Amino acid sequence: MELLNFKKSKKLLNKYNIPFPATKSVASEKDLKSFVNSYKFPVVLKVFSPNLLHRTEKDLIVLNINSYKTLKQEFSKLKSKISGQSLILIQKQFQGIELILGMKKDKSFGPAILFGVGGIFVEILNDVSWGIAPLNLSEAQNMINNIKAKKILKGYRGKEKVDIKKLAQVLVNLSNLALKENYIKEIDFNPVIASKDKCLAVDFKFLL
Amino acid sequence: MKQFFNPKSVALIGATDRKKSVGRALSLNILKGSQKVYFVNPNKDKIFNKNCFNKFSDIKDKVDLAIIAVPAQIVIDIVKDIIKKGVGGVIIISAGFKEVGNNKRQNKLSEILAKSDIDFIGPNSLGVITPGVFNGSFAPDTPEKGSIAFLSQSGALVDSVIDQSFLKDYGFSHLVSYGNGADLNLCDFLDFLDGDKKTKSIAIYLESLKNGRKFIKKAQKIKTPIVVLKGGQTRSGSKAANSHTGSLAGKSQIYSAGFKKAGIFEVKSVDDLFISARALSLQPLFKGKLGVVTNGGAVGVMAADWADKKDIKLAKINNKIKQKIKKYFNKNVNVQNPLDILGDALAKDYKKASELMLSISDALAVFFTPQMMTDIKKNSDMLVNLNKKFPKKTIVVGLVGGKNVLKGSNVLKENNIPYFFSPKNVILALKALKK
Repeated sequence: MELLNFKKSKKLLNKYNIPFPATKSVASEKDLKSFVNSYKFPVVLKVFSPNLLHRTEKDLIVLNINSYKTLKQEFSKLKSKISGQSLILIQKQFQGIELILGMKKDKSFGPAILFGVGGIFVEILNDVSWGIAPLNLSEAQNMINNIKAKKILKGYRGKEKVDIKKLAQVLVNLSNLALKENYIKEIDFNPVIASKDKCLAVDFKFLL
Repeated sequence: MKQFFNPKSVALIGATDRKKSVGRALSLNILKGSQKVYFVNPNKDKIFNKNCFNKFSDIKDKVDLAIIAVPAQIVIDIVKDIIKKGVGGVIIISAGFKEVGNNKRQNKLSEILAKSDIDFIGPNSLGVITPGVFNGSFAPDTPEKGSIAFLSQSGALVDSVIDQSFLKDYGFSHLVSYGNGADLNLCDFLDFLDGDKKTKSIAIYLESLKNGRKFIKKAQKIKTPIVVLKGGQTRSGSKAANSHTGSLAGKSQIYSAGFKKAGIFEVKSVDDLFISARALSLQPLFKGKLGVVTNGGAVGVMAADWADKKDIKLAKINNKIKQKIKKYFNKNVNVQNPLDILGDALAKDYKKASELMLSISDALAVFFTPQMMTDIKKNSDMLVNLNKKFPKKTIVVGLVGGKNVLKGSNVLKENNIPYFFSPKNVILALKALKK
């Protein structure tokens, strides 16, 4: 399976109202500078490649960059690691709870939508729920309420609450995308960073 | 689809009296009905005193239903002969098609029958049973009449369910073993059953659905409540998955999501399938809260535990009712829900407690444990009256015991009140009944 390229991926997110942080492909130090001028630190650098799914294992993502010095160093390190069609992306970094939203096209049921606890341990924690597209808002809210970690979303130990309505709307939008963009077989938004006022697909992969 | 469930005339191709054969079991079952029967077997003159026809097309009269029980290799020739004469519908009992990997043979069969516009069930089917009317199957027994319809992808499971049903006091409106479902499938049967007056609930056993999206749409429109058991529950996403989502996507999770969207109650065992189907066939659905009355504290505690696990809310006892309970039970009854009216409770005490609890709840679970003073029969008679008095409320009974509690089962059965033998199963039944 191949990944939809970066430009088209961004287009799809915009078309279906799926929010994501400011993200740009960067080729030079000048690009880095202009991004930071517009969006400020902290930022993330990561590699986007049409045949690369999991980056953590390969050290192709750098989080918590807070200065130009580090940014330039990490940029040149990544540059030396990549080749061919790979891009280096810079992204504004946000704090929040890590969730996963996804889609898998089933032979019998069509697009099945996934919601759950995100991050690199998703398969181990397996705290997820499924729905069948199209989802309406109340179905999406039920999916959110069906995971064990729902208490964390509702504000745990003084931590801020997640905007569940906004989150549910993103699930609905994802289900619409899955139904209409028939050529996409799987989708991973992992993580989606959710907080009291934001719900951002930090990482987005569309499998063809 | 009536021709499959209540045919006026039936032809059995592959009829035989050979001991231990499918054809013999079918012959005997079909002869039990009042239908006009035609046996087809070119090697026999008479079977069970009936003349045999050489082939289907030799029958002069119009035939509603043809049942084929011959080796798979000759099914297609038989079907061609049937089409030549014409028939209302066909059940193909014969195995040896897609289920053993012979897709080619099945596709050819479907193609030929589709051209002729004749509906068929199977292949690889146990048959169809409408208890009291028609048994077009090779099941060893005919179950009791009742109001549950059972649709099963597996034929062997139908035999097993029929056998259990005699011990568990439920009966059927129809049973269909749809086998490989090459033509008529679940959606077609749901349509028929929804318009069927005898059917009050539908139980389904399936392992796979060809078109889940179509099934969801159909099930959403069906008014008769449906319970489903999907065989094959192990979670395994695609092993060489490309994405996190792909590796988390087990078949049973996706099916469960589909059932939820369809508004269907899903269970995980055959026992639970018929506990739910029985409750749904006898009592109205409820929205809201549950009241529990018991003469044994532990049973109440366990019922409350299960209710919590199954997300069924217990009704709160308001002050007015609290005073009434205290006034009537001028002994040390602890006023709470579940309401334990203690081991010496008589039928009149159960009546009072049940009516008071019903005034604050939408559904009622009443438990009898067989204690020294407990008169299960009288208690059950009381519940029959209560059920008549409150036809819109949902009532489920727990006969928590073994031998002695059975004294209540007959009267409850005759009066359409579902009863089960454990708090767990009573609460499961209520979960199925919850909107």
